[in-house]
Amino acid sequence: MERNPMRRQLQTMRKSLFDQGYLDDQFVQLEELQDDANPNFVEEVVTLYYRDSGRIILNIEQALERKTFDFNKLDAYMHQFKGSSSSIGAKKVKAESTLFREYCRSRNGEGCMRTFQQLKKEYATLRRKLEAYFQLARQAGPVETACRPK
Amino acid sequence: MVCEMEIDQIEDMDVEVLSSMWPEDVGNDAGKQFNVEKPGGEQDMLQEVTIVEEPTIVDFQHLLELTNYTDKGSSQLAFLVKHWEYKQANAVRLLREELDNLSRQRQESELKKLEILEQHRFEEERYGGDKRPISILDEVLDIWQEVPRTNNDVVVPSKRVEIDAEYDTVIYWKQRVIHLEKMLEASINREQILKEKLQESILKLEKQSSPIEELSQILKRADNFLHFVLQTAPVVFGHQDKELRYRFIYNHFPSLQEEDILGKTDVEIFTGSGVKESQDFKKEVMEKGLPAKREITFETELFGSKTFLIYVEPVFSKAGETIGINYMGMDVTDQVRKREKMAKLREEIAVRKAKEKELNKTIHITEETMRAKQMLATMSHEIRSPLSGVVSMAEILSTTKLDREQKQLLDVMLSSGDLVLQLINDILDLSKVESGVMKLEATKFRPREVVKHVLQTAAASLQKILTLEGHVADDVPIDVIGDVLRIRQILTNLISNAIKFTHEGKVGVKLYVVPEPPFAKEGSQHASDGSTDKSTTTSASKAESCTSTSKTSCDQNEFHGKKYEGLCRNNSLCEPGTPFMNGTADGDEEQAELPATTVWLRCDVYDTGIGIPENALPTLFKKYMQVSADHARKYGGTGLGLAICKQLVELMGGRLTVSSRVNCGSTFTFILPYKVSISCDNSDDPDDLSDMADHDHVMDDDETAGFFQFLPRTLGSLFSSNGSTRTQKLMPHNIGFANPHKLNGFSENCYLFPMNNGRPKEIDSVEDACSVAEAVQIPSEPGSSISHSSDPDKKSSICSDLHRLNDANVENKVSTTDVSSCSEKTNISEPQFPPKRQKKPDVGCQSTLNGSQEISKNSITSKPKILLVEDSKINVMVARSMLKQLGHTIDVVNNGAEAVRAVQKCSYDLVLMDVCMPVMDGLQATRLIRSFEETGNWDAAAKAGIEQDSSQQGRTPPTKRIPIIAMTANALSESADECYANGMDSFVSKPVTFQNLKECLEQYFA
Repeated sequence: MERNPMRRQLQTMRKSLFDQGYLDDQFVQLEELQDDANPNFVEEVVTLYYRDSGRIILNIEQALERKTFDFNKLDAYMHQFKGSSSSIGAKKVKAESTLFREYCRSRNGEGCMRTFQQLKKEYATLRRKLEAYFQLARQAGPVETACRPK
Repeated sequence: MVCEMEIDQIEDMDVEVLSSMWPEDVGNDAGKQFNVEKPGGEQDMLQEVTIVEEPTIVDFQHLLELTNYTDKGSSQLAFLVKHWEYKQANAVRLLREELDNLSRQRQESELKKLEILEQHRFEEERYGGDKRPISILDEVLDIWQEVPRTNNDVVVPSKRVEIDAEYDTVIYWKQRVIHLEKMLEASINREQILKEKLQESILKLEKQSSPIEELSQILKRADNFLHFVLQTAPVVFGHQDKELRYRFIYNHFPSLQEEDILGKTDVEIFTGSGVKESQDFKKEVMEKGLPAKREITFETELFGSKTFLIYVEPVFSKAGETIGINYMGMDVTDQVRKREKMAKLREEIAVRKAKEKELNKTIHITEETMRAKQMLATMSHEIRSPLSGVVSMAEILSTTKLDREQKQLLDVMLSSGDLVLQLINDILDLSKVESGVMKLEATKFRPREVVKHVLQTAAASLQKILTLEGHVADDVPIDVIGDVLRIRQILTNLISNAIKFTHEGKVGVKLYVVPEPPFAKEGSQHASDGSTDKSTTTSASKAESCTSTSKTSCDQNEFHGKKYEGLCRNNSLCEPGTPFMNGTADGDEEQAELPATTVWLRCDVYDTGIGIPENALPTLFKKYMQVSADHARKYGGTGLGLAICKQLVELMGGRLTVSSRVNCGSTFTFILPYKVSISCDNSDDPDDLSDMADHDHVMDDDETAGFFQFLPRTLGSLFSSNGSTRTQKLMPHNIGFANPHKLNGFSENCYLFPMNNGRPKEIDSVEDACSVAEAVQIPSEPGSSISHSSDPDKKSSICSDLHRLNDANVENKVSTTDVSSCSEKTNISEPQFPPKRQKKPDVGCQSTLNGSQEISKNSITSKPKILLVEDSKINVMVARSMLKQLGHTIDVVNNGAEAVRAVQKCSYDLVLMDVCMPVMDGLQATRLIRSFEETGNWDAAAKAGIEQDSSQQGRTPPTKRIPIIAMTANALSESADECYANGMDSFVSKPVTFQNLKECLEQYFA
């Protein structure tokens, strides 16, 4: 158990993110890639994710505003989005993307709209939670752990 | 049986009798077809009703026959008979019951008699004192004892004999006997009476009416009811025999006599439309033997246009043969009319609703579009202002002291900035044209120069091995009037388009005079519109021609172009004070006074490119439309260019058309009207000649040159028109002269450039003064202004050219005499630039890792080279980090096409390939790489549009096959099978985990 209360809090927070199903093991993968050379790797990747995927979200949003849906296009966008989401281990967002793509395949516009709203919600929630998490992580300072042997 | 009835008959009818006669089960059962009210005394409505009976015309004979022969008739009869029988049976039953009753009573009375007798005997016996011997058997079998007892109790309990005399005396017994005798007598009497009653009843029964009478009465009553119901109903019904001759008809509104109808057919009675149809319909029913309904509209002389709903049913004989039809018709003319009206109304309503909906939709769309357009325009404007600031500053920066690399970077920056500016301008133009705000300017310009300059510009930024050529026919006037800016825009757009879609061969422009095309009427209207708006024509013409030329020649140095423009303006602003002004004004007036002739010029922009499939032609000129999404990805662009061109051409009163063959090339043609002012030309020419006397061969060359060619070798050269000799020819001229005429109004301007440093300033100023003096000396020359305006054209281009040389040699401070050699230098150094640009993406891809590049180079021998092909930044970041931990550094490219280029350049030990990517997906890239490995050449890649860098062409194919590992998200579109089928070796599923990646790489780098 950590002695540092802040770090303990951070651990709890991280655990709850996993327990509530927001994140999956891929996030651990990212964490494992973090080392002395890249102390903020996870945060960097997540930041990049939110910067990059915002554009796709916007694209999808615009595509959904049209009267007739171009399901192929939507599917392509969502494929991209899903790829990014799964790379950071955003479990819930990924689940929604999968659902969205299924709706795309079955040409269910209504389902797409609904799922997209849900997806945006999950996306925003995760962002909020991760932001809080990273902020706390910055405050808590680096972990005193042994580095991976090079 | 059926008879004609009279009114009094009905009144005479004995209602009481009838009411009893009417079979109850006929009248009351619900669901019976024949429902007749049971009249109760005064309630008989029929009494107050008059029934007119004339309409019925009956062929009795036939009816009789019918009832005899047809099933229906006989069944009807049978029905009636059955009824009668039933009624009789009922009466008999009632009588029987009564009889039973009576006999029971008699029995009772007999029993009583017996009882009395018995009692008597009993008493006698008792009286005698003898005991009646009762055997054992007797006890059992004696019924008499039991029966009377019950009878005593039940039947005559009240009739107990009351005798006053004392019991068991003689008087008592006597009295009792008398009493009993009386009772017996009374009983016998009663029996008698009952018997009489029975007799009476039987007699009565006999007296009752015969069944025939009753039936006829029933029928009469039914008939009355029928009449009552039908008397005002607008129906016609009747019976027709096998030959469709009427045998019976009922018509409420008879218009024909009996003899006119009976025994005749429809066709014989009526004439007109519908008659035949009804006849046929009846025949049909008869043939089919099934009843049917139909609506038939008659148009007869007899009763006009009427629609009848006709019901026809076949009548069968007992043997089952059709012997005729019953038919019933009802006039439904009004209903049909109403119905039709309703249908029409409904239809109209539906149409109106649909229209409304459509309209609403259109309104909505229009509003949306308007809003979007407005926003786009506003935004574009907002973006343009700061962007031009950026570009301008970059241009200024480019004039400062920079090293070679900085210069290159700046060039890229400028060209990118220009591109964005161009795009925004496109959008603004489009919204301007669409909103009708765009005004055309009428300026004098030289089509040859426009063609040349546009080609020059295109050649300067050409990144392909293409020949650019221009043909201008001899009959094309030297000067024409039109909106040169827009025409240039169109031409530039079409040429850059052609270049974009042409991979080898040539792109060219042909300009020639054509007769007035058929659509010219509206066109000329437009043109005149344009030319009437002349307030600033002349001064503008100078400024514009200046701007345009300078713009093209120093496309990448627009800043300078703007400076020129400014100077031009200054120049024209200065003019008012000088006699020059007169010349300008004169020219202007003449232009306005003399009728300007219109010349139609046709311009073909042709290429040997990929062509346009026929199905894409209709949408080609639509906004944001490209041949296919595939093209958009491959070639980029907004899809606005052609739309703008078309709108501009049409705005100027011309037409833009296209013809194309896939894989052979396309030709875009626009035909535009231009004004030619003959008087001006005339006055212009001599002036030009005199003015340019010293170097007329140069001008000649420029004015009448009909052919320009920019060969791939002279890529980017600015002076390669009319062959490379021209460069030598022109340059010495230019520099050697250094003459006042040449530099006329721009001499001062030229001083701005360090290039002029070597030249004595005094000469210039003196010469400048000279030129002004010269100009002043020839104020009466009407064309002077024109000559002036055309002159600067020349000059500006030259100036900018000089300036260009300048730029290249800023640090050298070259002297004037060196310039010619410099120019050659430029020619050599300039072409180096485009290929570098071409290389750019590759450089970029290799340097994506920039920091780690050195490491990878250092460790090239020991460590495997890995190429990561992935479009998602996040995935790149993750994968790179993982590979880094595994001790690998990687090169990253973002799509399949880049991957192929990377493999062309450099041999890799492993490729990690994403499957789904823009531009080219992983599967295709893999196929291309595999094809190279098998054939040793990149033909397949070239076919797919990836050109190999010439410097790499000699590279020998690698002996081993590059392992290509697919990275899939396990989606349907990228199944493992497909990966293998396309030549991939294995796959890692996404999201990539450290373990997976490690295991996968260990397979190859064990």
